[in-house]
Amino acid sequence: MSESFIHVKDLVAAYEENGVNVPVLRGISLDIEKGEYVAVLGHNGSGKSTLAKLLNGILAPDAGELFVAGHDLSNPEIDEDEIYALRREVGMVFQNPDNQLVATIVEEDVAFGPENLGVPSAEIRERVDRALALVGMSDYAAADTNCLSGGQKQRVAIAGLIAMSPSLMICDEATAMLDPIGRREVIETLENLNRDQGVTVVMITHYMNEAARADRVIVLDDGKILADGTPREIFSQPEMLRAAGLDVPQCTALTHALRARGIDLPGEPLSEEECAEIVCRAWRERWTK
Amino acid sequence: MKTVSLGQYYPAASPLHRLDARMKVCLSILFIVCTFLAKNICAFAALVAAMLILVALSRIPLRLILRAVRPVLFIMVFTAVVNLFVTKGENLLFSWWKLQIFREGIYNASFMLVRIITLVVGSSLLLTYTTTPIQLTDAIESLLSPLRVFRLPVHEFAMMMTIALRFIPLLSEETAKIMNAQRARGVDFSVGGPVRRVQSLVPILIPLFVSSFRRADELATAMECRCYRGGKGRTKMTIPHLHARDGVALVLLLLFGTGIVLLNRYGYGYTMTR
Ligand SMILES: Nc1ncnc2c1ncn2[C@@H]1O[C@H](COP(=O)(O)OP(=O)(O)O)[C@@H](O)[C@H]1O
Ligand SMILES: [Mg+2]
Repeated sequence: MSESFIHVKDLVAAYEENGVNVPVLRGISLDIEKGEYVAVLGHNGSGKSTLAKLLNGILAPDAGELFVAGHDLSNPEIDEDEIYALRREVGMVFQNPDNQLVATIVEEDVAFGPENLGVPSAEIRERVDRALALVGMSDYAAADTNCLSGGQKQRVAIAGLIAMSPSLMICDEATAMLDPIGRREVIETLENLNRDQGVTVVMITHYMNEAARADRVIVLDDGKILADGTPREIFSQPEMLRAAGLDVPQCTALTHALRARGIDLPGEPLSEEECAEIVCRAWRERWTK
Repeated sequence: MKTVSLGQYYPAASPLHRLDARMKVCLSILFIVCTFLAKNICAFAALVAAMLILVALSRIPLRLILRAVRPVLFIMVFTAVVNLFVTKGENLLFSWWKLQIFREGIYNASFMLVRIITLVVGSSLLLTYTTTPIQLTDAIESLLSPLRVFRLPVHEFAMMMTIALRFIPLLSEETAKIMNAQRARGVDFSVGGPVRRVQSLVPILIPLFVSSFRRADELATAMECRCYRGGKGRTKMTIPHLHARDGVALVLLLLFGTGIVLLNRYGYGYTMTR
């Protein structure tokens, strides 16, 4: 038994296609502790969704160790009840907000999860109200989900998971179909959950600015972990990001270009504000010399 | 905006909203029976009065109620016209070639109009507008639950209805989108004979099917991730309870039905022939 909340060692997963085994994850090892906020980056087809589905017991690994919240998912004889127990702990937010809501009315959808768990009625009511308050959707409890914006629908989906009181939330490109406002709503909701409720978050994304706000960034490339570290460590390696087929954040690109011209810039900026600040400071220093 | 009248719940605090959904299902069936019982002018007047009372009780904006009638407009006109010309009677008002209109025909046509309007408005007020889709499907699940004895999948049926009610507006929106996309490529859905028209539907149906299957697949995964394992061991957020008001509503509607029967027998005025 491992100590970590998520323990992955030499994990291998493959899809069978026309009788041929196509490996998708080729030996992944990582440990995630309770309360971490981890972003997973990788180009299309690098295996991010496959990893997410493994963590949730939707797919079973072909080889390697996989422990999530104390459940051994690498055990081939794992029974349905244990998967069920795992899924109470692990909430999963999918990309398309329309295809994960079951009921038409917001609060009835949020109640779906706890109803499946057999929670007593009065407690479901409490959980639903609390979950809607946590995602800032209390005013929409009686609204029709079809009338909500994409960001609001995703927040309802998140509330539906919170109502099951999970300890891990996996988001598989949950912001990919949203406009910038919706994206910010969802990211802030997740950050609040992580900070205030201690929910561990694994966020798959390909927006660099979302990854920059995480505690830790993991870069996947063709089924392998290419890099694993703090956002600052990851974004200070533009060559590695390019090799992984990812965009280099603009502020990283700028500071590296300036350094290549011999301008000495301290640190690694993660946001435009930080970047502007260190460039200004360097400029001023030059001027005073 | 959205024009689909299916499952258009309108949140409000009205006596109709507060009634138990199971009772509302029974009440709407009773009300529909009443619309078919009515035979003469007095009975139809009583129907209209009952409908107006329901409208007033429901606190639903009139424009929404009118929207419920729109989809059946064609059926209404069609039935009225058929009744107008088919009914034979004693007072011939108008005759041209083989067409004859009798006074009885006018009565019958108007009665049919009133019947359809009261039926549609009554059942949407009692059910779709004042009952959330989940309350509705829960009610149906609960009313059908005796059928479990025969091993009928009652819970699954109710879950299918829940999902259908949620996805029908989405799919109709998607159909409109695909049609526009095909129009932008120069497809004209309004030309040609019936064969051409059906053929031009193929490029709509195929993407629609593909996307529905993808949606179904994703929804099934999402439901599993939310620990759905069928109806066994499930609880409900709201456990419905019958209150005194539900009994009162039932008694009132039964009295109303009796009234309709009595008016049919003792009321005066023209009585429908069929
Ligand atoms: N159900 C499947 N059957 C066969 N191959 C699949 C299936 N799902 C994904 N793949 C393949 O696995 C690879 C990784 O997919 P995925 O994990 O979805 O990547 P990502 O989410 O990073 O874009 C892709 O090459 C994809 O073609
Ligand atoms: Mg993916």
